[in-house]
Amino acid sequence: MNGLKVVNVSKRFGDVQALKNVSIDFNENKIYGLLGRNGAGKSTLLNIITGKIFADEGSVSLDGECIPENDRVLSKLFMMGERNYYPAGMTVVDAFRWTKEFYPGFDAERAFRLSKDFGLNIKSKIKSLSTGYSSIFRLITALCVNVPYVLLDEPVLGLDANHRDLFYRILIEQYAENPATFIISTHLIEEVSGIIEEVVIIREGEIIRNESRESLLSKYYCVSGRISDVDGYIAGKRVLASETLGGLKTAYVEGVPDINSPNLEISKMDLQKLFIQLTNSQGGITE
Amino acid sequence: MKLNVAVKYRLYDNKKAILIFYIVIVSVLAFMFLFSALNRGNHKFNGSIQGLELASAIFLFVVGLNSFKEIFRMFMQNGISRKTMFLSYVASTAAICIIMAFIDSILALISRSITAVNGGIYSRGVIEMMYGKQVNSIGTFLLSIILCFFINIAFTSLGFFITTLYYRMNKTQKITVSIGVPALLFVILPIADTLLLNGIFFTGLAGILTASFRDPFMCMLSCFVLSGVLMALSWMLVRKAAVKD
Amino acid sequence: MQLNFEDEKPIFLQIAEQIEDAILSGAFPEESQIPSTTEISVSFKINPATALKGINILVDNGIVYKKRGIGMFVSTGAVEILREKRKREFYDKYILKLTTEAKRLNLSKDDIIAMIERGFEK
Repeated sequence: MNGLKVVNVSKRFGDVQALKNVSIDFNENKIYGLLGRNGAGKSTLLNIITGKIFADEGSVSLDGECIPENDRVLSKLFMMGERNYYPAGMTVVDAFRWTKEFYPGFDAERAFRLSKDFGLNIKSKIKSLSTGYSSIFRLITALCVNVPYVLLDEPVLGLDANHRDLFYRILIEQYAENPATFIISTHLIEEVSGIIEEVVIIREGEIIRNESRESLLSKYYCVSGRISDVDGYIAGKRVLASETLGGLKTAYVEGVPDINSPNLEISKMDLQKLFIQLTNSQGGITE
Repeated sequence: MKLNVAVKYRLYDNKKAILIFYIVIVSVLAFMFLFSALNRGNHKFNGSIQGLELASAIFLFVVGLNSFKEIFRMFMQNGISRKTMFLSYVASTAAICIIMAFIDSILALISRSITAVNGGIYSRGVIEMMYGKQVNSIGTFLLSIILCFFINIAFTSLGFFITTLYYRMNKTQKITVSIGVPALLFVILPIADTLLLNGIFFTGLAGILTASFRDPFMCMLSCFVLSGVLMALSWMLVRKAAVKD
Repeated sequence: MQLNFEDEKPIFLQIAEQIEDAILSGAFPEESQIPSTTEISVSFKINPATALKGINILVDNGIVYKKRGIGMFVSTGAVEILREKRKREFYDKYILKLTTEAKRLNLSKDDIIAMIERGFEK
């Protein structure tokens, strides 16, 4: 019964079907990467899970209890959204103070320490923070709140390279010391690919992949070489996509590579490449 | 548990505005009495303070208008359900309305006492203004507090209902209601009433309104019923409200 | 043609190898403490589970051991074990590659031996 369960959730906004019959389980103490292009339905899914919006159909539950409108279950969840939901006139330090009231497990001392590390002035009003620092403020809150399920929607939006690096380090440290489920929605895949354990790929409101990073990556490989050689090799195989550069051709292939393939370069797929191929508008398997 | 925190947050959220409101009210009162004291014997200066408590009611109407959007987002961010949010609204409104009714009744009493000494300004509280009852005993004082409390609640509920209604409506609906309701009340109904009903509708309405507020107790009851209806409608609007960006 | 998968080892194997390198170079002497899983995962920005998997390989091979409540330490004799292991791998990892490339370039056995001698003189 443990875990976060999404069952047959659909959601429509006007003419747009944002989610189509989505079902997925998020298990305890794992880091999930919720990957999708802009508008794929990542935020909608997270907003439904945390009860900010209601699904048209389907249900979400946590440890066997329905989530919406249940204070006890909601207190096990925290979502850092893309937007600020704190009162604009509130100072950072007051926001931390109130977070402690709402989530007694919130580690305020750590929040103050991290604010210093990031150079966030806790006396600033939230409305006066830049996009980057507004993200940082909400990230620090999410990393100190100590609940079993933390949802991060585009966490590094507006952060510079140094702050992104710092964030990933703190995230790993927090996860190693206080394991929890982290669901990170992002389109900056390269940066998180080492951190995430489970990959969930969402495309046009549907979940198209949901498995561990390792097993997903082991299913595909790249093959490159002369066009005729590559074409000969991929004949009869399931091919995700291919691209040519002069007389060279690279194909992204599903399955296990043939060891005996002279004149061909065979290499592993990385998550970013795979994601791009799987979510391209014309993407999909051709045989 | 969560309800306590939610109520605490709402009280914190309103604290500053209420404080400023009273600083302004007390300053205005002090200024008026000081001015009239300095101009004693100068008969050109006369003033009156009537129904001081109604300033609070109007203030609370505005508080009601501002009691939804920001708090809803804050509570959604912090795992507070809509149900708890609404209950905390009812609880904190009740607390604020009773406290302000108490303060207002005392202020009205003080203001009237000064009037008795200093003839320049004529002052009477809402209960005296509406029903001619002088606050001269514990009983009338308590009655004044309770009356103010119900009036306060009704005004807050109206503000809250309007804000939740507008939150749930889309742009077209907002425009329709914003133009439609005044048009209905002040143009269509009067015309229809005069032309078709021979004025029965408005005469009847006036009769009902007069009866509803004819004495302090009827006024309390009417405010109570009105608040109850508005709160129930607000709850129906809040229950399925979605966070908007 | 050789499969290129070797060059892109899983991250946990790379972690294990990097710690082995550090032990061989003397950066982590025998009976000294190695960085914790958390430290490793933070500094490489990888999932702690991946780091743990890497360290567990070293534990299984007797290269490091766990002191309860303190951390992971390099075993006595770890350097010797690693040298033996690396020697066993030497042929597959270096010689085979070397001869494959040499054949492609039409380098003779003597050419290669001469180069090896030159390399040792440096």
